[in-house]
Amino acid sequence: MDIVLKVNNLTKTYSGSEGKQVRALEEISFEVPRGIIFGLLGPNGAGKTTTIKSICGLVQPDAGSISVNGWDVQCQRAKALAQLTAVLEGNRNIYWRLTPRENLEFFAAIRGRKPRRLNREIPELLEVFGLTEKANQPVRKLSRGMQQKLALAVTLVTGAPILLLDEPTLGLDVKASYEIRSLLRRIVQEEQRTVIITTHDMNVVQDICQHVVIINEGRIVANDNIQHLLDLFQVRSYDLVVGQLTPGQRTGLEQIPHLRLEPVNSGWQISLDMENPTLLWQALDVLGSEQTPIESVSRKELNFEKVFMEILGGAKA
Amino acid sequence: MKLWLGFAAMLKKEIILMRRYFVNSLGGIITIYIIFMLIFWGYTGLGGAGLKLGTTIDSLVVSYVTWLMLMMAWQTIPYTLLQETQEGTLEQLCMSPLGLTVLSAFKLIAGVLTDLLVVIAMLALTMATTGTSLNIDIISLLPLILFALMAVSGLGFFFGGITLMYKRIQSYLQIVQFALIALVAADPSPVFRWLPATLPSHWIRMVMIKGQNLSYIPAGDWLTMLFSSLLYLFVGIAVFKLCEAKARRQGTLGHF
Ligand SMILES: Nc1ncnc2c1ncn2[C@@H]1O[C@H](COP(=O)(O)OP(=O)(O)O)[C@@H](O)[C@H]1O
Ligand SMILES: [Mg+2]
Repeated sequence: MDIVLKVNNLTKTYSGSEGKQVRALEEISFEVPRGIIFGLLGPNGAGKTTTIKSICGLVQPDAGSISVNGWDVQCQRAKALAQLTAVLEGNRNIYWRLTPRENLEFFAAIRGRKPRRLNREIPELLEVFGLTEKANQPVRKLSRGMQQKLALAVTLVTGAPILLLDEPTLGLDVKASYEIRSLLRRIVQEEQRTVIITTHDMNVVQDICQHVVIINEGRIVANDNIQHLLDLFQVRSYDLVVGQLTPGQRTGLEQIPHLRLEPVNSGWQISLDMENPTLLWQALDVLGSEQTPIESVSRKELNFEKVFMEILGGAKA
Repeated sequence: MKLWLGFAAMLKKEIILMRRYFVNSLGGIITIYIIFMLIFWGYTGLGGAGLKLGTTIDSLVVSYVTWLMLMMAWQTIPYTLLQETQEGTLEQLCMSPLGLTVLSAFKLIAGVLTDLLVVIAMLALTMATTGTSLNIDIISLLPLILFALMAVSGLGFFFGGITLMYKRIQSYLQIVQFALIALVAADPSPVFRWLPATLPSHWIRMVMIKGQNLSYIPAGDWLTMLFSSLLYLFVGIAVFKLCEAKARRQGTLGHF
């Protein structure tokens, strides 16, 4: 696998107001392969934006190195920057007094793109991003979702292969958020670009990211493939909700190892380990002896949000 | 090629915005003109007595228009940076391979070119209403204007750098505006002649009012103007770069 971004031992302490030192990043290292959507996840203040801004050369780290397609951000700045493009603040990285078309032309030009190819590319981009109708209206008159889509289109028109997006769906309604997500998938699939997003929205991560790094208080607490993380934390258990139990049944069930019994509204909830199927037979035998009604059987699913909370909980403990 | 594309884009943006917000620009021009007329009436009302700066109406017109030109040039960089910071576009400029210094210089030049229209309009307007006739010898004026612009551009970079580090600086920027009046109007004494734009402004008055041309300017004055203008420009750019680096360390480049 091609590695397009290498972050090595990145460390940053801000000297805030009144000499207060804020440790934002502590020896963060990770690598991003080409052609995926890579998620940088963490609660507010974790250090996500600092990481992104360091990669873009907007924040000077205290230590560590970053290389983009082999170019070092500190030493070979112009070469490294030519490889990447970013949206740092949702709908604000564009000129609100210019139109979408004028924005695209301007940002392409200051990135050194030649006008001839843009004549074809800009109308295509406007079309794909659903902005053709609004192409000649000042950006400040567009909806937030449209502004955010335009900001994304601006990153594409620079021609850079790596996109960094800080909280790309923040403040968007559900529809606009879905539109942005499907555009991102399209960018990665059809154009072989690499997208790195930061977010604290687990749904977004679970929906579009293939790989995540989770940071908390400036440190990496997980660095893994999404499916892997989900598998790791998948609670392999069945939940059965059943009717009233006799005292004899309760003692019988409590003797089964790894089985938990909790009273619920109209009866009991039985949770038991899925790894050992014989336990399920045993439990069913106890229930069958009195023909206890079974209200529901379900496999417990864990979503990414829970994984995230568990990892953060583990990091604190 | 990349440089040219960048500059052309910047100039195009300036022209688009000027046309789109023409009414605003017009309002600005009218305000500037009214301020001039107030000074003019105050001056003629006093019978020309007691005022040491600009002893003639001619001098008033030339000094005012020179000040206007230099003020617009001086404030381009700091105010643009403030605005780009507020709008969130500064980060995008910083990420251009051209770099923020070069893009700011482009913006400055594009600004000077578009502001020139306002300066010329104001010169015509003030000349017409005061009934003065001035010597507009473009060949002689061009190098002098260039020297004055270089010096105030240095100031622009200097304060632009400060703006990058401290965002709440607007009120201080206004002070510079008034200081600029003194720089333009000061007599070029052995000390004051080294101030930014003071000596070029003096010679602009000599050309426009007294009808002198470049051959009147002594070699010493040429050297002073060349040396001091370059010095102010390069010191300004150096400070700008230092401040930009500091802002990167503080993490305050752009919106925070
Ligand atoms: N320019 C700055 N000066 C001082 N502290 C900062 C600055 N930028 C960020 N911080 C602090 O650094 C920490 C990490 O911030 P940030 O990278 O923005 O986190 P995130 O994007 O994950 O919310 C926070 O505690 C934040 O308050
Ligand atoms: Mg953030």
